[in-house]
Amino acid sequence: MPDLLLMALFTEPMDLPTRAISLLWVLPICLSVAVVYKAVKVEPFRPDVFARETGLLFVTIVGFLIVIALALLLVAYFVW
Amino acid sequence: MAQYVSQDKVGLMPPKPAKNDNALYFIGLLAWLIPGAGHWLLGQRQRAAVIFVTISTTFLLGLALGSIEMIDPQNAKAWFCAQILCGFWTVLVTLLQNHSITINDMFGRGVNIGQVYAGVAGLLNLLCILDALYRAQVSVTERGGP
Repeated sequence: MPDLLLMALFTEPMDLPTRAISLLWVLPICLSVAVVYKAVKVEPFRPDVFARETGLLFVTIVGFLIVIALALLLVAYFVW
Repeated sequence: MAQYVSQDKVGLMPPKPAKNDNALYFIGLLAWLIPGAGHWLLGQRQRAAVIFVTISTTFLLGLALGSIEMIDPQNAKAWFCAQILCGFWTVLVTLLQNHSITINDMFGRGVNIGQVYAGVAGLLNLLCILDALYRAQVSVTERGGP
């Protein structure tokens, strides 16, 4: 039974609604980018330094995405 | 003396042993096949574990979002080029697919964010492959072997 559930997880796509809440799916991918980039860059690799650097990069990426979203919102507001 | 000066001017390096080149190829191939394996071979175990877990989780999350049928070498070639960089994950998924039907026919919709997740996972693995090769090359030039 658990193997069937596992198969079902990967054989049918999730139903993602096209609502604003779906924008939160950007967060896991930002976290992945931050973790892998810092795993490659941090020298020497120490868990505390790695965690701090990763958190900082994640916040920076999300912050810039928010700034870009606000800028695009302003453009849309003034153009239309 | 004149010969050494001449070699320095044109930047000639002494030829490297062939076994070092083979080791670099092996590290590159393994780093592609299993995310983080290149760093693992170089003794960077913690780094390798973080890379493997993160890239695999991103790829599997993409599969959960879009199903295994979203890896589509026929109709989404550009995405597939990024996704194939994930190595054995992509090969495994391609083997498990039902090739007689496209995702559009099966679910009435095209690609979604799952494809982006799997593609980004592949591109992140490319970064790790290049980093592993760079570290191996530095190791070769500094110590004479990876």
